[in-house]
Amino acid sequence: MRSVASDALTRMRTWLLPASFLAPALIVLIIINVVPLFYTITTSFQSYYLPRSYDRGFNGLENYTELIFDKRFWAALGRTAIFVTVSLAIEVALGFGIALMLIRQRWGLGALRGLILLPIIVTPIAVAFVWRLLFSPSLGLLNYLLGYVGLGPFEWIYSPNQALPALILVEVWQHTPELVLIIFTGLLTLPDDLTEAAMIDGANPWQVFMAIKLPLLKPILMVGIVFRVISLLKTFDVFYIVGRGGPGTSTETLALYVYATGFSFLRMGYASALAMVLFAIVLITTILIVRWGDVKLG
Amino acid sequence: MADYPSRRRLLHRAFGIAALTLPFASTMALSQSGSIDWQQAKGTSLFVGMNKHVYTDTILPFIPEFEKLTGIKVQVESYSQDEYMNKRLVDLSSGAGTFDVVMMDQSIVQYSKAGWVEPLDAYLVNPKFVDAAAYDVNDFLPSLTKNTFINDKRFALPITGEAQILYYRKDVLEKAGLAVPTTFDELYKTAVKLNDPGKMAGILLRGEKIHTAWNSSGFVWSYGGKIFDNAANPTKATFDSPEAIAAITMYAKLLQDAGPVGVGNYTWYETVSDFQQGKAAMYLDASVFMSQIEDPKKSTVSGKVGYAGMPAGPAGAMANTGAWMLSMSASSKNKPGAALFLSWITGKETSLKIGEAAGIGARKSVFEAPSLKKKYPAAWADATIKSMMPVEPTPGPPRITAIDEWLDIYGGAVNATILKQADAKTNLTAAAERMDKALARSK
Repeated sequence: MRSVASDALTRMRTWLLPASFLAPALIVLIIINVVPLFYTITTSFQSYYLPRSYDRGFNGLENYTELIFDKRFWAALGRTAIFVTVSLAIEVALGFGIALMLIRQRWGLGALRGLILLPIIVTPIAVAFVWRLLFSPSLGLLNYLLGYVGLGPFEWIYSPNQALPALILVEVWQHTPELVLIIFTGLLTLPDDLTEAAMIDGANPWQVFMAIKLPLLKPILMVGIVFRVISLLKTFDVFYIVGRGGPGTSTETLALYVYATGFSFLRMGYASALAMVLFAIVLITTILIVRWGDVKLG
Repeated sequence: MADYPSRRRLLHRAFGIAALTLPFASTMALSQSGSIDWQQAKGTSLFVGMNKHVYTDTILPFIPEFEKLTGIKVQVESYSQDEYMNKRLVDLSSGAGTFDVVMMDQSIVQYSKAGWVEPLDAYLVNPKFVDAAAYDVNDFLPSLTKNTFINDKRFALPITGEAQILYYRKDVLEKAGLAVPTTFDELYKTAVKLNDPGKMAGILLRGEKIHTAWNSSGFVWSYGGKIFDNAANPTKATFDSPEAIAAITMYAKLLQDAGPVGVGNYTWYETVSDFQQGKAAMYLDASVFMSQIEDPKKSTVSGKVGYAGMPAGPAGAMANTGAWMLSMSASSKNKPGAALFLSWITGKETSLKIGEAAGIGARKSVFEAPSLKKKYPAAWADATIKSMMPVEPTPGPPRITAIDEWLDIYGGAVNATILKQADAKTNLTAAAERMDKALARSK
């Protein structure tokens, strides 16, 4: 009997000790992540208009039904998909290009790397304000410079057709360096012998890249892509500062629509339903990429 | 429409008040200190909550004069806009009574209906606090005054305001041999003639979704339309009426045919900088931008700008206005002191001093004062007065809870019209339908 009891005690001790070390972090995580998530899920099934919060009550699936017939939601969803796909494709392509050039660079590598990383360390809000100035059709630097080579004037973020491409430009400018960094580090870890062996066998640089470097880089590249996709789906700051989803709703992504519905229109219930959809999309996309890409997280 | 007094009734009331106090006025000097015992609240203190604003900065040096006159200690606390709105909401809604006097804006609808601010009518006719003849309540600009009335009661006194006026380049119009437009049709013709694509736009107006709302409301009224059926208590959107459609068509046409490239995302920031840099011949917007346009450090056009009132539509020239006001907290523990403060700071004498110092005010006499016209462009003062005279229909943003949805829906329709995504009729009709739903939801 005694030995069983002391066994249990030891087991509890071995469990308690790590748990007590983990607890503070876990509690904080639960408070700032899990609790709001469940609160939002609850709110998404409620009719909740902030100025009339006393009328708050469950309304079943009403918010989700409204969402199915909400053209603005579908338009925002489509826009988000375009923004994420196009930005990601350009960022990956540029990321590879720049990383492959950097790896051959023999002089001034430190300074170059620093320069390339600059856009990441600038606050997004500041980036947005600067780009807004650059984009001004009448007073902006971009049109001024392009005017010298006979192009323009472009309307940039001031036209419904050019605004989304202009924002993709800002996004690519700011976040390509993240992928450059990841791919560059990945390239450094590649064993030279495989590449050399292939070259000796007569493979050209393109074949070497496609058949050797890319497959070897895939796991690390996929981690980079997962992080980029999550952040792209949720992009908010630059869009909000540059045009608040305008002109019209031409740059209104899902994240912006959630914000407007909640904090401008004060429709907390419906905004929560929209937020849940965004959450589901981020979750599913991430799972799919992790599965397909064979990503080993942790 | 019957929820606030008409100008005529206001006038009657003011005459009544003037007649009542005439004996006092005639026996005492016509100065601000007339019938009032300024020392009646001596030894008390007063807490004034203010938004960071030119007005707030301007009154600070004058406060010691009031303290000397009354023996009341005044503490002025100013906060940035968001922080101020929160502090004011918390203090007044809880009845804590920290603030005695607060700076007020459009929230006056919500605050007065909730009983958080004191009706001022009784104070204004009480000779203990206000020497009616010297105070001259009728001197406040009508459009701003209207903002202070909720259901026929006065809950605030206007201190400064802005109105839509027309800024134009004197040199450009002169060179082209064109007169200053006084109607929207003339405005359109002049703007198209002066438009030089890529170099100088004929006209600037704000085009960004939310920013079009305040400006285009003035157009709708000038064309005889209304934004909502009942300005004081809106139940239905009426910005899809033929008059409103004509007005928004004009707003969009001006920008399509004579506006700058990319105007669909222009906020006041872009319009003001374009005008400062000489990129436009005319600019229709709030009178408050004068100081930025005349600032030689920021503007290349200072001294070259002329000022005119809002152009007229078929129903006249109905400029939109925005007002800042002062209200007394209903839970103030020093109401006599607060009344004295309001009487003093919004009175003719102090208002003129503030006007001379910063070019702001809410009184006709301030903008007409020779001292003000000497310091600031006289034409600007005249244009501002002219634009602040009409009171119909209720100026400022609509008095509804779903104000941000209105900005998005109505502003979005105006913006879509400017961007040629369907015509004004299609956009406004669809928007009115959505607005009615939003109104019903927020009732």
